[in-house]
Amino acid sequence: MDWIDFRMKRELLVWLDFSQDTVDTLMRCGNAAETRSVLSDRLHIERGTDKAEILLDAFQGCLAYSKEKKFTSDKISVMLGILNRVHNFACQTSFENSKETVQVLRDFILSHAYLRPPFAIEVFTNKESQQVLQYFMDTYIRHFKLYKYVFTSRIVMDVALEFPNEPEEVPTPEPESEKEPIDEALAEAQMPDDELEEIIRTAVTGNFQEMMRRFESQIEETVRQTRENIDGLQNKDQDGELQNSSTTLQNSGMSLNQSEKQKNSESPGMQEATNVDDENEEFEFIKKREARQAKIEQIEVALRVGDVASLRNLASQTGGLLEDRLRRECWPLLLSIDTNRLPQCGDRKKLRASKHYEQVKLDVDRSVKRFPDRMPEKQRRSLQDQLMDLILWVLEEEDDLHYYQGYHDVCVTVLRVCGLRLGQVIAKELSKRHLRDYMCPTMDQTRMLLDFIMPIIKEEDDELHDFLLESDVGTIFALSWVITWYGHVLAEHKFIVRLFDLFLASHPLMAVYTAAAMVLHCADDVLDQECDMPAVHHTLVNLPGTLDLSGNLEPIIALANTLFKKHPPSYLAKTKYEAYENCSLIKEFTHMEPTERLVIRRSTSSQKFIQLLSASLTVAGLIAVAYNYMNDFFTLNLL
Amino acid sequence: MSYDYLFKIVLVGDCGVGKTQIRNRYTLDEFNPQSKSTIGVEFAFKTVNIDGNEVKGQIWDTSGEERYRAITSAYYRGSVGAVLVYDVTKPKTFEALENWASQLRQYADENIVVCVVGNKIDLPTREVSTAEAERFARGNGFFYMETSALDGTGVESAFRQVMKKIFEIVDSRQQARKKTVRAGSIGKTRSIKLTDADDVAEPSKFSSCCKQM
Repeated sequence: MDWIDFRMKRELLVWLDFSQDTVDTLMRCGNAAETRSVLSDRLHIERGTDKAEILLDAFQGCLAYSKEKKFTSDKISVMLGILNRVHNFACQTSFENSKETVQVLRDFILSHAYLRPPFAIEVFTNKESQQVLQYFMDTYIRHFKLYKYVFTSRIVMDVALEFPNEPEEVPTPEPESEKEPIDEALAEAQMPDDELEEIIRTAVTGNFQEMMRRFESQIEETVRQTRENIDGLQNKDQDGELQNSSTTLQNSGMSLNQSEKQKNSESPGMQEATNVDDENEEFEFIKKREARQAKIEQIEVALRVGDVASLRNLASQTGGLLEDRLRRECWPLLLSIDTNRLPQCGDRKKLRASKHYEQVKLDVDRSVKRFPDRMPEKQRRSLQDQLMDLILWVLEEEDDLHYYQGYHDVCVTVLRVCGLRLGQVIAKELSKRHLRDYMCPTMDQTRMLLDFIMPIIKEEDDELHDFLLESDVGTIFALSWVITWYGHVLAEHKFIVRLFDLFLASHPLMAVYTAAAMVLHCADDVLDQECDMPAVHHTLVNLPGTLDLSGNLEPIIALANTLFKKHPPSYLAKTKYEAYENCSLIKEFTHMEPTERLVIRRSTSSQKFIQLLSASLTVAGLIAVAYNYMNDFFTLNLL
Repeated sequence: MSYDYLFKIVLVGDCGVGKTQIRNRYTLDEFNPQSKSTIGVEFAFKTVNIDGNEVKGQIWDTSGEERYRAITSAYYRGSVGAVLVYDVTKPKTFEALENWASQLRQYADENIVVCVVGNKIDLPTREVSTAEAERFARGNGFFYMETSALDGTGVESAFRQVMKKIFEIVDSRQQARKKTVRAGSIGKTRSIKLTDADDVAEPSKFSSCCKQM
């Protein structure tokens, strides 16, 4: 690489970049403006741009330091020279080279710190060299990334992977580079095209090979474990002992049914079964951790290749997008936001003059609970200020969106995950799609969408539907769930963001399907109530907060997904509830509905009974066989 | 828990005047500085004893934001008491009372007992005077109380007053037609309105405001 060669060409900088004349002129300058003009002449830079001023600041600072240290002209020349060389070295590539730059700096200082012509010359004393090194570390190197940000061009890489069907062909990644127009000439001069291509090619193939290696080892591991499990099971079977086989039977039954398992483990005669069960749980846990890691990798791959369809799937299936770090990258993609062109944050003063300010402030002030308890008050206040900015910015940008109490609950989640600059664009986009019907001038549309809960429930559970209808409870109980995307009613951030994953990846009505899923999930509790509006309303309104989720929302989400597939909005609207046929949300988002409706036969109690019966018959059969076998054995022995 | 009467009381007023805090102070005797905005409608119960009768108050707490009014006003139906809250440090919330009162007249029982409550009297920056608020209350046939949900001043007595007034109306009517109505039939719930006593005799006009066990 170029910078490695550069290290070899160590030069002595006395009077080289900055001649004696230049240094003398600099020393004579009475004020900063004069100094800057002399420096800019010497460095051949055009004044007026931010870049030029930043560079001049660096040189002026260096000069001031030298003067303060009462350095002689030759030392000053070397100081400025070092800065010049180090800066040029650092900015010749857009890639990370901080370590190399520091090495270059050390080399230059070293070659001016002792007398050994023609390689080195003693300009600085020992102590001075240390001070000079310290100075550069504290200034240029400390702000290294900022200098890189300003003086090097940004490189955006688009990588597309293609896997042709022919097995012989090795998949070749197609690197494609796109440079920002700024400072293109400079970048081209310092980074020839073929070299850039070479770097990208090495980086991509390296990464790809690493990925393949990890993938392969994972497969091997899984295969090995499965084989071990099968072996274990076979061994047990070969023993042929009655007790063992019944244990295995119970065991497999247990993993299917959690509650049955608990009942069994309580009885003392099942000691062995419980032990196997513990092992099973541990195995489950490890599997979970591995599954999680595997899913993270899947998400990362989907992100890298920009595969939105897979991301949608990953976001709605078990666990969602798993981590806020991944969400920050996935959410923009799900909303087709170009993160390279994010608009600047709004001007706080101007935003606060908005007509919505007072209402938004009232709600933001009362959003304390939405921040972690342990967060210092100062930090929370600053986030609340940002929340105000975010909401007011969206309302300013989208004139026809109307604020509602509860909108802040959606925005606070977005802000906590994505920060202000990305968050405001995400909030804007999701308000334009998913939330737009809640942001109409009146709440009529909201009420209509909430009422959609009832048809869904009716399709699943007639008894519950009739009960709700008779109690006259309406659907307002779900208002604070749906319009805040559950931010208002669920206590834990992890549950809320999990639902955000689902909603961002799904049809805008998914929040309503989730509400129906929650009510259906707790049907028994609801039916236990007196069929009276206040009682039912009271039970329902607090439902999400009181759900016994045992640590995860997945059963509810799975149910919501199933409900959506079984009774897609346009199907319900078209066939049974004509009132919804003209609903724009249903008409416009048909592409997010499944192409075919999922048909599941309702599992009735009689079916469950038959399952149970057949299971017990199998056990009885086994016992009979074993009994016969033992009988034969004894008979033979006796003979 | 058994009770003799059930009164439905609504809490209305502008955003941020402290409706939910008043409700929490009354029903749970607590004040939470980290309160949330109320979205839609929520409610809570509290049972008190008035003249030897167990009276259960069903306090309906509503969103104050303008756009929620279409939704919340549906919940005024059948309420026999209302607590109309404003913030004594914000004249704007006091001016809005006129609007709230007309909403109540439109949707709630016409003989509804209304108590105007000036909240946040613990704050030093008071801007609406007691006299002004009392004038408004008297002019509309309401009564006036001042409260601080923060330290609890006046909250209990405001609700007590409302319940007592409702009880008096119900009780006087019951006295008047003791012989004509099957009052106090144990084990049966009965609903009554606060309007003319003749209404009560007709079961078809019953609404679910008060019940007698």
